[in-house]
Amino acid sequence: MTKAAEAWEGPTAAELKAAGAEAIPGGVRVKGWVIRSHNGPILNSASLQLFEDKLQTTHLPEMVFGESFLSLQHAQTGIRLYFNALDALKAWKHEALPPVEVPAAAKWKFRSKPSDQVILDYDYTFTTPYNGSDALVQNPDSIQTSLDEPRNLCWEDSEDRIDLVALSAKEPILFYDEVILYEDELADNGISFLTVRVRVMPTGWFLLLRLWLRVDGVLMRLRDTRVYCSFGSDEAKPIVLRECCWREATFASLSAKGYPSDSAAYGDPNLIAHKLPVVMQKIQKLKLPN
Amino acid sequence: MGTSDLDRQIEQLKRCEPLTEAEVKALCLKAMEILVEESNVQRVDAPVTVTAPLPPPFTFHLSFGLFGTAPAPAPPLLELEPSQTVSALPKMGVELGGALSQNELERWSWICGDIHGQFYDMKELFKVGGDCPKTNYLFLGDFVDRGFYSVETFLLLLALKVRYPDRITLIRGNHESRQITQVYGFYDECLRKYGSIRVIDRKQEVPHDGAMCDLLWSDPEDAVDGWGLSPRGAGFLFGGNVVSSFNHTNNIDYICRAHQLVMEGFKWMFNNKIVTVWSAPNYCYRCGNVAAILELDENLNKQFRVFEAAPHESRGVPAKRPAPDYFL
Repeated sequence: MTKAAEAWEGPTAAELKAAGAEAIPGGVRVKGWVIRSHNGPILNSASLQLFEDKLQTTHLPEMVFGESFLSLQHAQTGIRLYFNALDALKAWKHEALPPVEVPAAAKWKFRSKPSDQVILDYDYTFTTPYNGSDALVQNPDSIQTSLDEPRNLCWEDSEDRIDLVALSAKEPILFYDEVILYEDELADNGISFLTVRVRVMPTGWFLLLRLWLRVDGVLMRLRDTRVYCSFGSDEAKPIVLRECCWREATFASLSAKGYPSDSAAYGDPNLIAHKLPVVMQKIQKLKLPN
Repeated sequence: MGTSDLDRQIEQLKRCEPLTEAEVKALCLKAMEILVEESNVQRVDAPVTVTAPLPPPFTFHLSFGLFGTAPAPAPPLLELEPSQTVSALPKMGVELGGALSQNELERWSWICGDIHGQFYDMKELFKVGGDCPKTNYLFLGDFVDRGFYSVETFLLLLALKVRYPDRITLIRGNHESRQITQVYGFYDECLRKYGSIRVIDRKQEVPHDGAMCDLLWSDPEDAVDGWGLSPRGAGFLFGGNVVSSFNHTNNIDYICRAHQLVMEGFKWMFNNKIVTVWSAPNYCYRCGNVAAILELDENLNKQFRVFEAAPHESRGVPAKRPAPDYFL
């Protein structure tokens, strides 16, 4: 990344104008879409309690950015896609994977343990199948939270692919943000990180929701959801594709392939994604509401 | 530590009375000074010369039986100088039992095998072999574990080493190690005789078990009353009962610890029996949390000072929005 990029102050007025876009607080309005993001602090004790009540658990990630969100709303169709920690954690709670044992666990099995010991068995990795929340909203100006129960959107399996060539074009970026939804350091046993990034260009927007999990010495999971909207020629009929790709590998299997087996080699998911075998992949297209 | 102190301690240890913790500490420091100066090849006066790898991190063990069977196993743990032969060794098994004159005793070096905390049997050994300063001793390790008096055994040997460094040689056996002593008794005996926290050897990499590990890796947990095991399979969780009992046993009002992020900078749990203090505001430059420090005045009154992150410009971290990135 260049120095110039670090000092990025947003798109120029000319770029916005050329794209028919308008900067709004925390976002951008372009081709019938209102795209907004917010990065808030982690939950304080009171909001944490609310989350615990809603989720019926006392175990949440160390850092839950409960107010942070990314929202993409299309006025004409009422389509609204949004991303937030609460829904992601609901999905985590629902999937309820068995816990992953850390390497030290092998040694702990032989330790004498207190007789009244309770074994906690929730999924402390906060692995979630979350691929975003969606809704059909009648009043496009209302910023709803997931507490409401609006109609959901319909996604259909698709043979189409996200157009990576189009996405590789260095178009002007009209809006860009990265929103962390939650993060946990696994008590210094690795990292669990759920984040969504978005970039908006004159010809479409693209987002990547990523769960990145590394349990040191044990396994890594990368669950990516990419959503691409090509604005197309008809502003009333956006084309939205969603591609989910889950990758997973144990350190043992990577080591067997001759890859490094130390956690230090796996700090950046971008660099190692290709080393992790795909365990699930699906592509869906958003069915436009009538 | 003066000679008279040492002599007094030796007499005390010979009665199988352990030293105070402070005395042990001073003794260990003194012993370290001496041992660190000894080379890996240590000459022992009269009839044999023994070479052995010495201090940590090497762990080794010579058993008495090796003496009859030169060459020693590889890597060589024991070598005899060319001019001196195995036959020069006293035939210990045969000649023990007071058959030797004092004069004879003083000419010889005794080579001793495992003791394993059998203090009173070691006293027998000295009775048979003669008192330490008059007679040379070479101990081949495994002083501790299994017997009931590892602490007294080892301290006596150590005190003799400090008092008469040229007359007694101690080498390390495989039981003189953390892992082994934790399984076979010495570690627990130390805990029993000197209390837990104070005997933790903290000058080491954090081990996977033991008190040091537990202190660094355990967290309070609302969901349990007593003890819990983390879902990671390693690391204890402890509840309110454990904290109350710990505070009571150690006669303290509350535990003050850190390690876990709390949005408000500090967090009390279990009816103010334990408090977590967190002092990194806006953790990772994005959490938006405040930080706290706890002040105790001369009467132990508590006051938390809550503070926020330094202003952006003084922090050396860009405050701008993230740089756009053509991510795919």
